[in-house]
Amino acid sequence: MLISILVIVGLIVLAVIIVAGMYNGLVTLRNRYKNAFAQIDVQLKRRYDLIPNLVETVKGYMAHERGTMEAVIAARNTAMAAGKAAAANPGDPTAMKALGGAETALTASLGRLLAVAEAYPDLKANQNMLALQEELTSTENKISFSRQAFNDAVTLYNTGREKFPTNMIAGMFNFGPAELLESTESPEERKAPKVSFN
Amino acid sequence: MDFFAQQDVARKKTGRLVFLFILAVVFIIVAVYGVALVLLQFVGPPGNVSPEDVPRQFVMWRPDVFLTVAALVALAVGTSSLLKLAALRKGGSYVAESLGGRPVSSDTTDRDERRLLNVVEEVAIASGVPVPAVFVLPGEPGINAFAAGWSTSDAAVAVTEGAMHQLNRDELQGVVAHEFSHVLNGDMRLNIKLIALISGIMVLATIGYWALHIRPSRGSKNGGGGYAAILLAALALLIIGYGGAFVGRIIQSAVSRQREYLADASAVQFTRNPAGIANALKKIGGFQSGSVVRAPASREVRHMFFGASDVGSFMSSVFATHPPLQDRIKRLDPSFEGDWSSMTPSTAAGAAGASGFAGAAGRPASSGATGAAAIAGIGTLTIEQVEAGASLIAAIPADIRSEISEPLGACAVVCAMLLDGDEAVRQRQLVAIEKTFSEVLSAEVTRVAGAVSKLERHLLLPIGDLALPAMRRMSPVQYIAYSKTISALVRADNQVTLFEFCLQKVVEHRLFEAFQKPSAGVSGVSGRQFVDDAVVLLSAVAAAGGGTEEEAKAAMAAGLKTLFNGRTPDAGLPQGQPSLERLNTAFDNFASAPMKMRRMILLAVSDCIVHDRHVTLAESEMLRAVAYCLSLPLPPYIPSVAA
Repeated sequence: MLISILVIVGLIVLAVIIVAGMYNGLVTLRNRYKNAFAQIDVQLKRRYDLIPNLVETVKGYMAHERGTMEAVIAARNTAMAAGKAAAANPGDPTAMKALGGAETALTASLGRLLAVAEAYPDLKANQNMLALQEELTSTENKISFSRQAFNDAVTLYNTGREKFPTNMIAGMFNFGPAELLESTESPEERKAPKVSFN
Repeated sequence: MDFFAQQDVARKKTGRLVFLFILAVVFIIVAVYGVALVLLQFVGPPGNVSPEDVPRQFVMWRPDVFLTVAALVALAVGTSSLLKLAALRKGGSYVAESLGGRPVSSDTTDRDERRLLNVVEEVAIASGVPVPAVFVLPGEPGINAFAAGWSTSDAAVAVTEGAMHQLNRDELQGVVAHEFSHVLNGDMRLNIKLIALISGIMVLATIGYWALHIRPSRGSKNGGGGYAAILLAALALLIIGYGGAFVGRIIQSAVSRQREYLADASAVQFTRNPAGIANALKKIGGFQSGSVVRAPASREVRHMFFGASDVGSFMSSVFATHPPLQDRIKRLDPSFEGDWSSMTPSTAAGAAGASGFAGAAGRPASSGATGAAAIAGIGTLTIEQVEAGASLIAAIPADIRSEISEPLGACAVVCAMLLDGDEAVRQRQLVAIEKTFSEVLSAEVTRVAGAVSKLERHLLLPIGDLALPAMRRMSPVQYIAYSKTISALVRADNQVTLFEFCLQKVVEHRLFEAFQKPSAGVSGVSGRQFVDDAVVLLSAVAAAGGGTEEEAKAAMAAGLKTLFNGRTPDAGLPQGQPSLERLNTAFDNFASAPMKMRRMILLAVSDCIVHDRHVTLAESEMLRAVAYCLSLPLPPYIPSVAA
């Protein structure tokens, strides 16, 4: 009798310790990727702030390209709303997909605007325009860098919650899968770090 | 008391703590044993009932029961303590995150957050501690703060939202200086061990709590007696667990109170502004929310806070983790008014004296300038250093400042520092960045290269320091790729300069501690190996002096003399400049040497450097690299003070 009580107590001890450890591990991984999103968010906002300036600069030179400019502004506003939703709940599959799509659309429309701007030599030589373009490129680089960090953190979390036996804890305490922020179509964005483990 | 003495005190305290803890565990084992005996009497082993002992005899000593109980309790307490320790050793950020902390991004635009970051950076640069991660505890109106971390390289400083908004710059500086003195006094490890031990004792209470909630399964026939026994056992565990935690809390509080006075005093010493921290304390006293922290997880770490994080309860003097506010303010206010009110910072700047490395090493004329004075500067801070730290930061161009506040920019700036002057080598380096990391990084490096090449040389290492918090936000995958990039850059021209070596060491060492599990702290490097490594290091330092061969030999002899305690070393020591591979292993070995050996190494190195009464930039960078790798906070070399 005594032995069986002690064994039961011992098992409970081990179970509590193990469950608590796995639970805490999952919470940490989740916090990690949520914090990593904040990093992207800062740069995304920076990009959204730059775009009106860019359009303002371009406006004086290419007044009859109204449609292209409006498309950029519209895409920016959509992306901004998607960004806000994603920041409220980073990793949420719908929000992340929406943000990925909106960012792709924004990058595409920006690309069209800059392609059209190529046809205006005065605009191309405009100091303000050059500075803005430079800043935009750099911001996009920063976005892709921090997106890589975010996706790494999400992958770590997803692997953590799918591994046995943590997957049982994840199921019990509702740790849902997190979604990567998918790569968009811009050439800068495709240049993720090449990593080899050896 | 200098840095090393403080560290020793902290270590001794840990020893005493472990003793008290073992005592508590023994007490718990005895208590659980008693409960088990009673239970045994109550339930009784079946099949053992014979007519003779119908009123069964109560046997006091049953080794089998005692051993089983001891093993189980030790298992529970041990595993839980070790797991907690393992978790907490993941670094200060882990502790801050578990309290719901939000990291303050170094490119924040919020004015209060920016001010907080600036204050932390100034104090960090001034003391030579790596700039810690900064967290805000959102939704906490109380004024409070804490520092956590296993080593100085993974430290985190967290302040409540209340503190960030309510305190002015001076007060905030006082609070941050208080937290840094915990870092410098070695309190962080002490605190973490304390948390782990208490959580180990608490685990019994947790088990009891859970066991109380077990319901007997409906179908079980044998339920009655067994269930009652479990209930009884659970209740007993709960009581014993809380009893143990009660004792643990008393230990926690006693240790904490002493360290708080010390940290207050050090904070004043750092900022030479008793009013700052005193006013912060007064604000807590007069503030409605006081220093209360609401997050439930804060109970465990309450002894790490700046002010008492819980509302006082009964027996508060035994349980208080912090001395009464009035006492703390009184100690700051009356005693310091007379001492320093006449000493404004500007007049004090001339009296840098023996405090701080810059003061000692920068005065070639002063006779008897030895490394000892430099070592005395470790782990202490003076207002001159804080001001010099601030002016050093101010000397960094704004565009570089904004680059290093963001991960990609920070990585790019550090890479750009390693770019070669030669165009062909430079191209090869850029290709290497693309290969080992990505085109994104090489594009950014090209972009910042111009600005970086215009930087004054003495700013480079401090900039590397300031870039670290942003670089820590890389993912582990990125970190692995980046460390490959750095070593590719260093090796691109087939010759490694001392600066390149130092920068690589500094970045690797500090990032390494942030990304990988820290070492246990002490390794079994043999005495012979230690001497070999030290000699290798000294010959590199002597060569860095840039003098003639004779001078280098003399400098090396000075260093060796310190290393061997005045005795002349045996013949047959290696001469000439060692290979960088050899130097590398030496550095790695030092990183896990015990504190006493680290102190000796640093003393020898600084004696070797000041031997010719002249300190070159290369030498001071070397000293910094050594100090970094030894995890010793060495205040930066400040040319303006030295001149």
